[in-house]
Amino acid sequence: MWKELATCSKIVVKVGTSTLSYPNGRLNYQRLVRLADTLAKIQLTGRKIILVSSGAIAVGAGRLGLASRPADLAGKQALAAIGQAELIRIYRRFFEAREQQVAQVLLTKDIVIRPDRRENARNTLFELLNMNIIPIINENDTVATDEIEFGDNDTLSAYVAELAEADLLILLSDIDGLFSADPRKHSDAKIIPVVCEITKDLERSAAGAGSGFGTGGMATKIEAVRICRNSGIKVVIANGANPDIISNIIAGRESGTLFYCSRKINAGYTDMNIRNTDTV
Amino acid sequence: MQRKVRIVFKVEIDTLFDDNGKLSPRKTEQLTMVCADLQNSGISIALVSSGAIALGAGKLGQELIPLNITGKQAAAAVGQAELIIMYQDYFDHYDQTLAQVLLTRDVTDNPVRNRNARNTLACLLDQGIVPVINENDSVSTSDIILNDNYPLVLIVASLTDADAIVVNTYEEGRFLLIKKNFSEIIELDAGELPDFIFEFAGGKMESEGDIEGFPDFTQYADK
Repeated sequence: MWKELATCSKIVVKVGTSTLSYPNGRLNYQRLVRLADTLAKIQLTGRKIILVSSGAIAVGAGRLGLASRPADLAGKQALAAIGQAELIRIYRRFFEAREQQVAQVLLTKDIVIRPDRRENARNTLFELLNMNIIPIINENDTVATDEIEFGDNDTLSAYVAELAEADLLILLSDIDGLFSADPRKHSDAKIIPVVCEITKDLERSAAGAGSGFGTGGMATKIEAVRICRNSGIKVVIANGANPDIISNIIAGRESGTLFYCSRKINAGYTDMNIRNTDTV
Repeated sequence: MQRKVRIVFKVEIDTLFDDNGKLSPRKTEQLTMVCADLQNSGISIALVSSGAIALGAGKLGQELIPLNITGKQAAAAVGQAELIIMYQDYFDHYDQTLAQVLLTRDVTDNPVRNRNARNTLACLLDQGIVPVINENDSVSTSDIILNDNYPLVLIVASLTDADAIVVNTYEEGRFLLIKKNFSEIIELDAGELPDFIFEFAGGKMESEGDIEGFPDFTQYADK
């Protein structure tokens, strides 16, 4: 089933704060360079990439030299506003060095709730992909009150994958995949290579196997899988420590956990859209 | 409550671009210097800046600004990144930190978002950070359709409880200073701005932040 990923033409890649930054919160430039390198190379093969990136608040805190994050909402949102500007500047720098154009798209849950916003966001994304530009997406934390506290980019990236009619969502974080048991407690815990069905058992084990990174955890990742399954989008959870892993995944080589589902039969128009974006 | 005097700067295409439609480094340098200088004088500045679509079109090698909405939105997504990076590069020379704030019109009629945007902007202004504000064109199209950011400027003036709005005139280096409630408008040179702003604010370094600020233009909100 992994081999099927070699045919994916539209891919959403989500990177978490733990992938982008060192444990002290400052950006890991080496990793960002390798990420930009990997994604730009994939884009050259004619596949379309959408990047969903966290990290704005961490970058904002770094810019202001703060040791810890502010506790109040306004303080966090101010940091997000400072950090997002810095983050897009750094991405632009690394992608431009590889002659790959990028765009910034900041979204809120409006794209799920409001049809007009949804339509606008969808049009923007399709137009950018048509022009061979990599959209770099984040939550618009500055205005998204209810979202910043409970929201997470795992869920956002799933909605983006659905909106963009992607074939595959890759969730990169600091865990290697879904384990058969909590690897911190069970030394014989193994990565499950393919999951075809989300069972109650699986949900229970996911709730227990959390890690300390970012705002997400395995639970939000399973939620992202659930959103994607509704639209027939496959999801891979993998470790982002080496961004080259993205190349392995889309070459169909087993590299983490694949949440498999077959493409929806009634989604024929999706394939047509993919063809269109490929020929432009 | 005592706080710094707050000014909203309306940045139009003409403020940043030359007559040929190219970004003017000289004009941009002049604007950022004026803003950084006002910050140094103890006045808080918020920029409401156009220019994303024009910059995006330029970046994409398009001779003309795209006419259809989707084309404009894509140009805006590319250009907003360019715009905020450009401001950072210029403000970095003056050791001035900025923040990017992308709003949608519902900040006026959604009470939670309204309070939220107010708090975030106040937090930035109080820390001496310049918010650079634009409409979030990727999901909202009212400014694109209107082709002017005046409604957004008035919304931001209201959200920040601004003491005055500054608008550039057709003559380079000359500005219009618009007092709260439009009770007074004067034209002046950039160099005169700090003194006049303090005079406008009642001759004090701090504003009382009274309730009679710029009116909320909720009727412009896209419902």
